[in-house]
Amino acid sequence: MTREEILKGLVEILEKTAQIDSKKLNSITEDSDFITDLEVPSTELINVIAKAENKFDVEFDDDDIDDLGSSVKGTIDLIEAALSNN
Amino acid sequence: MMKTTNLKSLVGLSPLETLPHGPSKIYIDEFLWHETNTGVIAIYKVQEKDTLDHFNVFRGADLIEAFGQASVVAGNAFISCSKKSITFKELYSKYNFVFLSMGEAICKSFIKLGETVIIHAHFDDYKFRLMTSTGKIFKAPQDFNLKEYYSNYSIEEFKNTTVPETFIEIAAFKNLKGRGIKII
Repeated sequence: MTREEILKGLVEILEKTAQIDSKKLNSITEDSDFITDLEVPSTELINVIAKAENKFDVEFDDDDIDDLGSSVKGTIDLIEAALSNN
Repeated sequence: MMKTTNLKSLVGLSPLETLPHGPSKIYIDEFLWHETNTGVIAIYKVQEKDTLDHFNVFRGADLIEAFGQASVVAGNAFISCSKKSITFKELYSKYNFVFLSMGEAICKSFIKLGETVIIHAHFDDYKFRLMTSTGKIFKAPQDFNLKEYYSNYSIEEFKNTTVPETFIEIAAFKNLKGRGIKII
């Protein structure tokens, strides 16, 4: 799976998240930040990551999420690493 | 200090050990029932310092604090301690457990000085050290033996919030969220 496909998958998750303005997703890139650019609530970000586990059929450790931050790039890195371990 | 991983539940552990707060800000005396992924029942007898300048009544905000301490702090931290095989002290040196939000809080009655807060907190969701909890707070008649009553409490009774008719519902809380955040 390419990074572009992972980003597309994340957008699909975000599109179904009520608290997120779908217009902001039109400009999402790897350089975007979930909280500052997309205004994803920090509590909702955890739910987005949890949904990503199901969507990409991967499992994250609690410790991975501790250090994740809120960048889209970091999340793609995490998913990409988890996929490579599958 | 005893390793938390050797323990089955919060029951029997001191709140001074299982909570990161200083003694004057702890609103739990004992954990009477606990299932790691299901919920917790804890009690607190209201002291003079808690009602000072407040009509001899325990504050609604402190009811929420007590509920949060039992659930999204102690119950939440217990899971991390178990997973990481570390003590509460070690965990709290690396993580701050913080209150994030609450969906709903309804206060139906009040608790006076000397009465006991009984917290029933259900763990609705847990993921990546973020816990969501829903439940109720009761008070019991002064002579009611709470330890004995909850010593054989079943998961089914807990899930149905089964309590004696003599208990009075004080408050109901929904979707209280708290998270353990790594200290950088």
